[in-house]
Amino acid sequence: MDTKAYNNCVKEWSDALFRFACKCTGNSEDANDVVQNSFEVLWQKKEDIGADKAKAFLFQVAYRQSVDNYRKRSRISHVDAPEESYTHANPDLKRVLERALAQLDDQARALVLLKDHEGYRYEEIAQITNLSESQVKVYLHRARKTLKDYLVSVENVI
Amino acid sequence: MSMITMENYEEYMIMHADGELQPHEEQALQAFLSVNPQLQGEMDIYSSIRLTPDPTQVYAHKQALLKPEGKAIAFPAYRTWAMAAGVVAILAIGAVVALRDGGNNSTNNQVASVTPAPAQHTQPAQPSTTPTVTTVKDAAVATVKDNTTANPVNHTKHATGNVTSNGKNIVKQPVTSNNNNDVLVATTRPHQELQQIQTAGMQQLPVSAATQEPIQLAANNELNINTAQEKDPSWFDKLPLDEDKKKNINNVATAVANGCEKISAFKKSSLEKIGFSMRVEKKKLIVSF
Repeated sequence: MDTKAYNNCVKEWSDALFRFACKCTGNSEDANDVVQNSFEVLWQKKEDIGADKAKAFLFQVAYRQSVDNYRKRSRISHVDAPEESYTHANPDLKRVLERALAQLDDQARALVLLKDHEGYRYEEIAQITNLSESQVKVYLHRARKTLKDYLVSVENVI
Repeated sequence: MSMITMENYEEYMIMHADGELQPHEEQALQAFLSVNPQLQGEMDIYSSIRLTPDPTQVYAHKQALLKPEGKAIAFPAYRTWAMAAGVVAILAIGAVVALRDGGNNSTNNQVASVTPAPAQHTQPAQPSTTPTVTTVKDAAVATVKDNTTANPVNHTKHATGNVTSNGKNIVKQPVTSNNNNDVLVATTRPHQELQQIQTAGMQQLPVSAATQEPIQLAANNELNINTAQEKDPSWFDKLPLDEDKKKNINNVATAVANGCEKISAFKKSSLEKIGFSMRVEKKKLIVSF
């Protein structure tokens, strides 16, 4: 990958990577660090990584940094988040889902984000997260059920 | 995958929502829902649980991540070429220095033959009204033309025509003398400036000084210079090498320094204007412009 391809990656994927890191770490400051470090690693390894693999590589680095290094702070951040969405007078589905997402553990949240935001298939998610495809499938199904139960419970409250 | 039952239908619904079902599995799920329509609501809930990214949430420091682009050429195995270029440069510098030495040797011989007057240093017995002044002046001219050093040993060599000077303007030790007029070559000024050194003051020497034995003056000079060298000898002067070899080494160092200065000036003046840059990576030298 040359400099031009690297810059294209920055323009194309930095926003998505930042959103992913924000959801995983729970705050924008850590997300900024994750994005910066991810692209730094990509630049260092650009000779070995093709442009078609760059996105997956970026999310792989960001996933490791977010889930592994920021797990503790992320958990604290999400637990301390104020409850407001589903008690709002007119809650929309997106906000409720955001609240439901905060209830998931870090790994499950990352899997859901990779699936819903980036549209990766189970096999690709397995490569990014260094899990087996079966593990990805099980964790995702478990997360979907949690989200569904949360959504149903909120609807019942309302 | 086995057939769809009431125990595993959620798994199929989730995979349907994720777009991971095969066509035949999709048909089996639709058939299962047609038989169990009460599960259609649950199917809709799973399909609605889709997180969508917020397009307003963007990375603010994108520009800081961008790298300067330009046409880049990669030179693999650049170390081999760099070593080859270094060897060629060393050989070229050596050749240039050798050629200069050859040219200067012939020039020095010419100077010695054209200005034989300093030889009179060793022949003070010739009677003359102003013998010493003339001798000193001629010696000064010879030394300035020779353009080499203030070493009194070399003065004697000039006089005898056995000079093996290198022709460089750099003079390591200034000449000091008890005679104020005898400050001829204590400088690093170029050749043209050296030729313009005023020596008129020598003609105004007092009679007592003018009538001194020239051999004594030379001896005084040699003594003073040796004293100056002993006061502040550099590490290079302490090396057990011949004077000629030291001069040659100095010449090579001067040539390398001048070359480096020229390269630096060229880089500042030309290369930076056109955006030329080089960077070394693991196995390649990348030249961008």
